[in-house]
Amino acid sequence: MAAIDARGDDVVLKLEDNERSLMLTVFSDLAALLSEGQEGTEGDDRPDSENWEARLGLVERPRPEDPALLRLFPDVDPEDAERSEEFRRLTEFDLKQAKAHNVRIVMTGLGRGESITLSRDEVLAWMKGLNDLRLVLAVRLGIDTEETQEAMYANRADLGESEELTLTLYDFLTWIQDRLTTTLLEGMQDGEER
Amino acid sequence: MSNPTTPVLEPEVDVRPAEDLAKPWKTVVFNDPVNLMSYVSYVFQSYFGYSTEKSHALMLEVHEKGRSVVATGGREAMERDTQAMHEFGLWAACQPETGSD
Repeated sequence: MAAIDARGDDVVLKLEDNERSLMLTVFSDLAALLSEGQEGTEGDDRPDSENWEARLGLVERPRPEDPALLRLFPDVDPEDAERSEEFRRLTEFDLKQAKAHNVRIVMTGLGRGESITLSRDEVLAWMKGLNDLRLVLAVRLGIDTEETQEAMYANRADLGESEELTLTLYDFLTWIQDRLTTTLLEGMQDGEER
Repeated sequence: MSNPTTPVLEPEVDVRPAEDLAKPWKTVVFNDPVNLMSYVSYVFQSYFGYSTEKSHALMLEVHEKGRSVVATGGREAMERDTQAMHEFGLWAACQPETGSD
């Protein structure tokens, strides 16, 4: 059973082998989703860091058709398509890089064995990475409002095997993210009281 | 020497009218079923530096009213805040202040 405890400035996360291997699989999927369309023009095998056209906002970035990607990279103003398009061209590359970086930090941590010691910065990357993964899973499950979420839990017995597994995984990731967050919040409150 | 098929990059100069710079903009955070109450409070505290009480109140407003204006200011600052919210995975937008909120 997973456990999370604060130890000084660090947070220690204990995960079973099967929990870690499942998380590695789904975070690899998230990394693959984030690298979609990131290569720029076809045949361009430069690393992202050298893709200066994208960094400078010189490459058109179409609005994602995949609703999961659109949730990770929302319009800057849903009521202004033109400004959203411009903002996406100027910022989406950097945002994708930041999200991919968080996923790499999670995967590095998962490789540390069953007892994972995380610094505060790593905990923050885990919280963001877990949140992004949960956003994607929620879209895949069709959870887009609190009503659809309640309906999904109320009719849990009727779910197919694959959906049931995804929902169980979603709950597990929710628990880890919430525990990591409350651990950091408690640390901040201790700081205020001092 | 130039190749006629090579596109020439011309700088697009976007001149914003002076009043646009002074016009207030806002960063709005919308409710969604995925973001945790603890996490949203944490984001407001750590990113904006708001107190525990203010962060909690803003989080509850997002949760109960569906949206909350979490910051106001110049367009560039609000766009920066909105992008930061997107990095945290919060559903946020930067919009011109219309006076309706």
